[in-house]
Amino acid sequence: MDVVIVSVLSGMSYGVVLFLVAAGLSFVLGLMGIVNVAHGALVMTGAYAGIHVAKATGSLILGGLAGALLAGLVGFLLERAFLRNLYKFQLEQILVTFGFIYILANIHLWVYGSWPLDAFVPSVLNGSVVIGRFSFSVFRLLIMGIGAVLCPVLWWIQDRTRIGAVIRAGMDDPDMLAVMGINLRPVNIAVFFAAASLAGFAGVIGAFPLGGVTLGLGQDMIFLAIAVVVVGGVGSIQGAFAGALTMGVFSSVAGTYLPAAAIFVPYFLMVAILIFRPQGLLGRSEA
Amino acid sequence: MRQVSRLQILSLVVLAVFLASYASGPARAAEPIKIGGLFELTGFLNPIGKDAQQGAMIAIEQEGGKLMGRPLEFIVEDSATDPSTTMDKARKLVEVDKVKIIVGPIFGPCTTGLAGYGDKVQIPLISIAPLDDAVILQNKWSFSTPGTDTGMGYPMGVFAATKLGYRRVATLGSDFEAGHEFIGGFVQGFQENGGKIIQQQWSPPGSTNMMPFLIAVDKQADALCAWWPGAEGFSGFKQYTELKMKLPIMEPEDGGTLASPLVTKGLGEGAIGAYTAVLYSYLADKPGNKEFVAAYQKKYGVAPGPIAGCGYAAVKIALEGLKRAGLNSSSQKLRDVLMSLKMDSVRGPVDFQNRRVTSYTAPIVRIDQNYVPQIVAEYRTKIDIVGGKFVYSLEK
Amino acid sequence: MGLTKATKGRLFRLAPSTVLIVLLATAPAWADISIISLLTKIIIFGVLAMSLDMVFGYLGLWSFCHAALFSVAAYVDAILIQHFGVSFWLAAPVSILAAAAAAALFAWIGLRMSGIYFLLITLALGQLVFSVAFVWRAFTGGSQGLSSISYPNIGIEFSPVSFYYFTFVIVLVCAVILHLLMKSPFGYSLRGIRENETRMIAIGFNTWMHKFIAFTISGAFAGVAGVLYVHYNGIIIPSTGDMASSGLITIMVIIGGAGSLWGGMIGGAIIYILSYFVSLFTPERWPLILGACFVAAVMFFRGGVYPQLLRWWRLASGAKSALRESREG
Repeated sequence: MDVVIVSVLSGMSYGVVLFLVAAGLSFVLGLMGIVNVAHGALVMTGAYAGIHVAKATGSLILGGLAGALLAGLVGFLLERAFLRNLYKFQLEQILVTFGFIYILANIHLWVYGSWPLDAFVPSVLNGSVVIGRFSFSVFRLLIMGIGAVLCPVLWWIQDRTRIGAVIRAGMDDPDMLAVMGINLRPVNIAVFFAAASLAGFAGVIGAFPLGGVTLGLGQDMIFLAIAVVVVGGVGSIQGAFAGALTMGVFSSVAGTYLPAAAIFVPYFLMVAILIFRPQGLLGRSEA
Repeated sequence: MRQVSRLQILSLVVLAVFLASYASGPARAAEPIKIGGLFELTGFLNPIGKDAQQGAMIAIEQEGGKLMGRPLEFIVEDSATDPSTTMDKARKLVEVDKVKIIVGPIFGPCTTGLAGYGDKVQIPLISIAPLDDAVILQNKWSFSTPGTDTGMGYPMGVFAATKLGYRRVATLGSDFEAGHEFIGGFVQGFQENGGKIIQQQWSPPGSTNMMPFLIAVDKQADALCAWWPGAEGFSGFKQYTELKMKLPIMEPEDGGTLASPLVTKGLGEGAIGAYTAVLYSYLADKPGNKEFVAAYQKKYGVAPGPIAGCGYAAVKIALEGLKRAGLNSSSQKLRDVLMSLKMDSVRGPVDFQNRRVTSYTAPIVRIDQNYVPQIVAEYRTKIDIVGGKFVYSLEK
Repeated sequence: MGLTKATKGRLFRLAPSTVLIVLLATAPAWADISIISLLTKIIIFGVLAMSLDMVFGYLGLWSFCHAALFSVAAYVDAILIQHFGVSFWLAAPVSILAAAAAAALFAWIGLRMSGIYFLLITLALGQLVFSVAFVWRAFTGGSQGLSSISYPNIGIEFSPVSFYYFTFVIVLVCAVILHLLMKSPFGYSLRGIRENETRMIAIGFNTWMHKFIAFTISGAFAGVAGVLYVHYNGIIIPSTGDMASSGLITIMVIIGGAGSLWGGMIGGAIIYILSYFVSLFTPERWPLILGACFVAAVMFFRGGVYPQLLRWWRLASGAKSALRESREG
């Protein structure tokens, strides 16, 4: 019994991290149509910097902010310097951002060395909850809490605020916005920055469920993130949340109960969902 | 052409500066004696590839730049943890640089692919980590300096059954061939001494989430025997620590991680009290070890981990082979010398006994509260080849 | 007398490819063995990239499983030859068929969607192949893969140089076939489908069948590359067919120039030549420089290196009239 509970909970905590990474990607893809394969590398960038700041200051909040800021900055530079003129050219976007995965990973190798960086856990969160034979870290509960708070907040912004309406309109009918005199450009830049910051923040707190930050994090994360975005539905917070949690819990439970099949599970899941529900779990139907 | 913005130009200039600052010419061909080194400097195995290279450099530096009166050149190339890149670099080392011997790399498929090439061009290949069993048996020019993976796990199994008194053990290994071999060796040693393996799990390669497997470990187990290479060891131990499982943990080989002074602390409290067999220990009292550790510590600021020690030992073996074969020796002579090579190393006695694999000493260490891997036992595994198969026993 | 403008135009257009073919054909004269081996690898991956370009550049299908199709052929060939002692003459065609069959299966599953959805399905299917290769240890050797695969056993004592020529001939034949295919009505219909599928359906094309056939043929060519690769490399491991590899092939196509067919070959050459030589200069920093080159390629080679080079060539040779002729032709 304790096995099931820990399995589901750890899957959920992992899922929340995936959600934070995927949410930003979903909107960048949905609103700007930009395929930023370096998004995972931004997670890594924020993680390395943020964790070092957190360890130096002893504050997870400062670390999270630092990670978010650095990732946001790198993302902002990436968009302004390179992606700005490539809005309709998705192949070029892929090539540029792919180049940045290599660049960012190698810079981090150069600066930080090749071994993984272990997560920062503030001493106040060092405790754990006993579930049967196991202890479950309070930090994971915090991560789940952050997810439980951020998801409705972002969802509210998406559905109930003017900026959210502008973003959704930008995804469905950008011409109408132009006719109404709303300039999408600053919105795009802001969304890209926000997505990158969210990714950096995810890296700082996500290092714990991921067992540390590695240089390969960029490449590992981006595939999972794209999968979550598509499985959940592009351009939808609730979709990203549903997709991420589904992915997280399924992988976790499969690892425990179907270990031989564990390696296949994420991909079977993707194929199955896409076959039966091509727009994703909670996606917006084709416009 | 589209307008190129100033910011784009600036970014290009910055990148070009990096490029310029790292351009250096390829090796000059002259009279020197050349040794080739292939290491995983990029790719997923790069933490331990770098360790190995660092250890190797110390061995080279200790020669003072000369070997038998001639300049000594150590040409290091990146294997990128990829067999075809390894082959490209190997061809360059052999055809262009004309090296006499090659050390490394570590990644199984790379060494297996390289072995065939070594046979073809008749250049001895000195491994850093154990070679695949099939390679040792079939490829005449590949030398497995730390024995075999299975032979590594064997003494740990014996130790677990006889000294730690475990009766029922569950295993959890990363699904690489090396994992199967290390754990296989453990299983052999354990079962030969009355133990019972009650469960075996294999985690997908590159997993960062070991939780599902850790919580699935059979309740009845006395202990967990786990094997995680390189970076995977981080997730494994961190999550084991987090779960506070009242289950002792041990490794048949530390994956280059658990006993590596640079990283042990980062694995968390769960590492304390863990046992593992190691390919090399910096605390072992072996000839030349104190000097090696001091030199390594001076250069890199930390004591050498197991794989760094392996890199050092491998180069030492290569150098010794070259010295004993003499100047201007043929490849065949070099190989013959290596086949019958007997020498001391920082790992203990090396003796190829004409089989290209050596019986070796496996220190068993236990991580103490200061994250130091203290040696608690030392076994010498004897490897015999009977009917094309390996047979393991312990020397007394 | 002299040549007509049309002929001059065609000569100018063919000149770069002719020079390239001549260079490749005479490689052993000007390159040492390690470069010959590198060239062998480049042209093998060139075929793979070209096969991807067929569906990626021409059809606009974002396939992310071509490395997996490639490795299917490589594995089947290795298994047949090593485990079952089958001769190369049988193993090779069977392997190519296996890759084509896998492609057909993937297409059948995935063609109900397009764009990023197709990408994800093919990615997932490709990863399934990778997972099978990893898990089915009895046949595939698990993470160690299958090794000690020698040159094809067809009565010739191969050396690196003779194998290079063997590969070169096969690659040339494939390239010509693909080129003719893309220049045929079938090839044009693929482009039509990418630009406006609804329109194509309206004029009566069975676009699904076109896509299906194209994908299957593409898989077959990926299979050819796979068979050549396994004999060249001597070893096949699961990660050769994983999503990172598929990603790299996609990058080759994009950097070379998607939809230009030869771009795939050029892209492969760029990536492997750069990786090799840069890593000789700086064994640890080369990925940084490679990444910077990708970025530079986007900034200075619009639409891909090959199309941009062609544009520069046409401008430089002042063959403006040839340009006009070729556009009319």
